Amino acid sequence: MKRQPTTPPCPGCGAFARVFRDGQSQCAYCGSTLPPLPFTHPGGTFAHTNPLRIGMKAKVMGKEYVAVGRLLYEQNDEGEVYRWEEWVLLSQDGEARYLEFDEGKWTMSEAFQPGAAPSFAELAPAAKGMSYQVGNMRASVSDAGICRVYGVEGEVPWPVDPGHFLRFVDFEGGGGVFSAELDESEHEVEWYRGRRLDESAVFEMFGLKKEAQAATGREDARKDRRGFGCMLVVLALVALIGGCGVGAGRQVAAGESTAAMIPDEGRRFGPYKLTQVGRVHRLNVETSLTQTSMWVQAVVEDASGELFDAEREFWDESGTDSDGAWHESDLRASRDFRLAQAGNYYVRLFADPEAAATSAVVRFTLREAVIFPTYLIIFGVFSLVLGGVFLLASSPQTKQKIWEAMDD
Amino acid sequence: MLRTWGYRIAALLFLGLFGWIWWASYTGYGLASTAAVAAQRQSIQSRRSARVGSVYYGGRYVGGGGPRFGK
Repeated sequence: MKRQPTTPPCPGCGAFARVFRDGQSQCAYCGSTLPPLPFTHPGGTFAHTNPLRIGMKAKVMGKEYVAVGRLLYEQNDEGEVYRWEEWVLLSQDGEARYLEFDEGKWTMSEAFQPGAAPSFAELAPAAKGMSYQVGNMRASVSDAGICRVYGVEGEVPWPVDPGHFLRFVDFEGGGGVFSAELDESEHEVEWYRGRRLDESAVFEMFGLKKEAQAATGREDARKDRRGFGCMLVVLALVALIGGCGVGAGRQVAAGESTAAMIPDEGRRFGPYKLTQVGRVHRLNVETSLTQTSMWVQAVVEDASGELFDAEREFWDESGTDSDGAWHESDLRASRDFRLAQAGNYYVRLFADPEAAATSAVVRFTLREAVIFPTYLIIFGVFSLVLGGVFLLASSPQTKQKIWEAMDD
Repeated sequence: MLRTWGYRIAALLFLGLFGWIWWASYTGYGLASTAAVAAQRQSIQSRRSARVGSVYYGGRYVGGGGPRFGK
């Protein structure tokens, strides 16, 4: 599509921009009625997706442009149809800018001639991820394909054929975006460079103050959603690392005995002096067994009697079934408690082994200054999920991609 | 920096909750303490006598273990 303004200027004021009003072509500046264009496209056929309308004026870098028309494109990507639109902005002296609105993102672009750029033949096989030298920068292909102009309205100053197919290559690089339109009939490439704009900036340009204010509010809320989501993810990771990794504390007591050496009244170890009042302590008990079981109980005591226990029926078993060999065991138990007062404490072991387990060794350890993990893990998992939800909500594109991936 | 008051308040609440969670994990809030009560002692002794998961048969406790133990 050759985007060269071919319409004559207004004979009254010399402006190139014209709009279709009251059933006739009028100069956008002085309002003079002009001879109709041979390729005018009266509006009203296609629904609007944003507050911009034909005839609105915008200030771009201090220069005034008129929205003279819009082009509507669609791309069929393996059965998925994507649609976007492009507003044609024309200045009084005939300079054109293009404002693309694609899935909520705005891009303002203009034609340019890169010094050295890939030819039609080099660009024809372009695909996402490939990179090319465009002018003095390396740009990578962000999208490439064939789209169709499915609609046009307004006084676009060059002939546009609805139904026309267009090959395009989009690039990112050097802090901006570029696109190339490949003319299949003449094997030529038209280059455009652009920059992304916030929705509020677009509405500001068009003097839509209320819409700009609302867009700023939406952008602030979206940024806050992302910031809040990031904060939750960071808190979740800190909590999970604290809960799972760094809270094991210091060992203050340990002991062991074979099961056969533990009498019915238990075997007492200690005393151990515990001083970390108000902190969490952990009693661990474990054994090693093969193909047998043994009940074990470790009890923390003080001079007044029993305080806490960690007990379990420990077992180990292996065998073979239709899935092959298997081995399962449960050989460890623990108990967390809070030290209310410093003093001497004991650990007493009880064991009731099967005959094959009498020679097994029962071990215990007592640790102080442990970080109790349960609250941190619950908080971490909850915050991670919630943070993920907020991050997704702040990025409609990512959410869309996830839905599409789930559909596939 | 958060710009909207709703998120500011939510962030403050979460930071407060995070601080409280760390304090609770550090001090073992809600855990039983060494200030023992009779019921605590009784449950220790009852666990010892009940031998959870075992069956007394033929003069010894059998039948402990996991879901496939002894099957």
